[in-house]
Amino acid sequence: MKTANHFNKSKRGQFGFDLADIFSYIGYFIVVLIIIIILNIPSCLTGIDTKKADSKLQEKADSMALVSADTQIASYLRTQMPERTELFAKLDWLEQHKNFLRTSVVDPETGITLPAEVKLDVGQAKAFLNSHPDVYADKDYSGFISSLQAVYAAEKKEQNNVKMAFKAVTTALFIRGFSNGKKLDKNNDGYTYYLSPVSVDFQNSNPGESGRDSDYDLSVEILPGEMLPERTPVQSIQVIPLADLTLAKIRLTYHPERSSWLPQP
Amino acid sequence: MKRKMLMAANKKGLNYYSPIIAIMGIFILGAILSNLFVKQYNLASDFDLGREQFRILLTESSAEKVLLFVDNAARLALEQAAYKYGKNGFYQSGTSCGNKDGFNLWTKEESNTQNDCVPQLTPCYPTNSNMMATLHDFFANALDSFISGFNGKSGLKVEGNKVMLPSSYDFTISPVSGRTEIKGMSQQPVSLAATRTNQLVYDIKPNFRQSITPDVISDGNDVASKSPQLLRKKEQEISSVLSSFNSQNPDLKWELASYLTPPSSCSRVIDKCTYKCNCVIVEYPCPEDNKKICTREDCETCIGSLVETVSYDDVYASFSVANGKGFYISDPSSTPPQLKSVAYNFGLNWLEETGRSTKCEP
Repeated sequence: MKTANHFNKSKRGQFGFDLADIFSYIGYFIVVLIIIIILNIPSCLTGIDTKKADSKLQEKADSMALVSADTQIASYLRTQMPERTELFAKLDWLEQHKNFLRTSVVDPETGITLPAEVKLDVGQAKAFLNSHPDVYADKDYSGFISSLQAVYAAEKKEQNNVKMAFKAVTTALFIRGFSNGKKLDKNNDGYTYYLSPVSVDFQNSNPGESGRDSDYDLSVEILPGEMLPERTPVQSIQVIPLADLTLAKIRLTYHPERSSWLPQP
Repeated sequence: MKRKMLMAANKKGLNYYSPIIAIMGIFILGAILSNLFVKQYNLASDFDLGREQFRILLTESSAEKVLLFVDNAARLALEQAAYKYGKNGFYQSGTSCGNKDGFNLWTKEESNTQNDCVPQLTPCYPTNSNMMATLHDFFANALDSFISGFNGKSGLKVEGNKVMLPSSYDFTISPVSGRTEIKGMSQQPVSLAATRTNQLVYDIKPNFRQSITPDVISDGNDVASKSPQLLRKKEQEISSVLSSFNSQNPDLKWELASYLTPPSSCSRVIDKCTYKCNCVIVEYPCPEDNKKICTREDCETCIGSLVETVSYDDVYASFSVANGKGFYISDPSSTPPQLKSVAYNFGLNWLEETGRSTKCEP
């Protein structure tokens, strides 16, 4: 017996360990680790606030939408105004397709989306542009807006003409359409047209603050009812200088959900 | 001894070493996992994935807004500068030749006794360097006004910090065919703090390059080079000269704004002379009839000065040269902008002699 014990003892390592001991210790730790993990899983499941996570995701989506809106309004404002021939050709196209444009409004009391008339008098706009060619010649879209302000502020009788010219030109330049696959008739040419709402305020002394629609001097939008999203859209605001050293605020209302389900190029 | 300690067992043969190690391991692992769990819990509950990245993107959007504003301000400033540059006859303020009815004079002719009534013409024609400096100064003042407006009213903020544009620029006016181009290099950057959690700062220099039609510097050189041909011309002669100018360059339309000829004169002493002085009336009997009394004037002879007076028409001819381009200008700055044509205005002054007279004066 002593011999066997002595023989067993002699197989141990220098510090008294042998491989069996080492592996047994490792086994202990693994079992302990597994137990602790199992104990923590319920805490993990109850630890995530899904509502918070949803709101944070929403916030990120809004931030991304705001970046997209900022980019879009910047691209609008840097768009070079076409020369007279091309601009009037676009207005002529608009005149021919006016019947196919649809927009909508949301009833503030009931919250129901109702179709609304697209009030666009291209003839009135063309007459104004003919009598005031300097508002668009050799300018970009932001220069066009600042020139409109000069006429809007100086000539009260021209204010309605200025509003219509803004609507028509903005629509002609930036309107987009996509194939809707519906039956062609007098009210449908196979395309659904839309234009993100663009508003201009000449009179706000603090353009950094968001304003109500009633504060905006010029505005245009073409949003068919099916394009109004469930969520509140994001707004991007750009400030530009005017010749009389005041500032104008230009607001673009961007609907990210609408853009996401549009056909991609 | 060590071996005995390590192989220690109680009398019943139980090995305490393994359970002790296991219990210690449980506590250590538990502490590590709890610490990790707490961190994960915070991350999970906030679920703020991408917060810093979105802030950077939004900061970049704000920077783009700043650049767009500066580009627009530069264009408006250039339009205002071009208008004022032309209106002031390529000078920022008056010339040494003076001003007449709002037109800076490019020539001034004077005749006075100090010069013995010899007309002296002072030329004040603008040079190319005058024009560049004038346009530069008008532009700098106008841009500064727009930047002040932005800094005071824009309300643009990034991470709670108001965005302020620098007002110090280096400007370069470049010759471009048919256009006036100006480049502005900002001396200071606009610093936008990208995030709140670290010190990342987004620096941009709001440089710009803007141009307008027409090329006001070339137009100015053209006008200045032709204007001497209008000097000392009668009004009708001027009309024919202007017609030839208009046919040579249809882009510039020359017009005579006004032609004034107020009288002027210059007197000087040219010699000595004699004249009757101290005259008295003397009565004497008339030779024909002694009963009647006749009178005569008896004068002395005095020495005086022979004064020559030269009469002139002090001609002020004002010209306006339009290039057919108009900008919406607020002039003065508080009024609604009006469409103003860009015109190069200047005046010429010279003397035309209309007569001479002499008179002996005491």
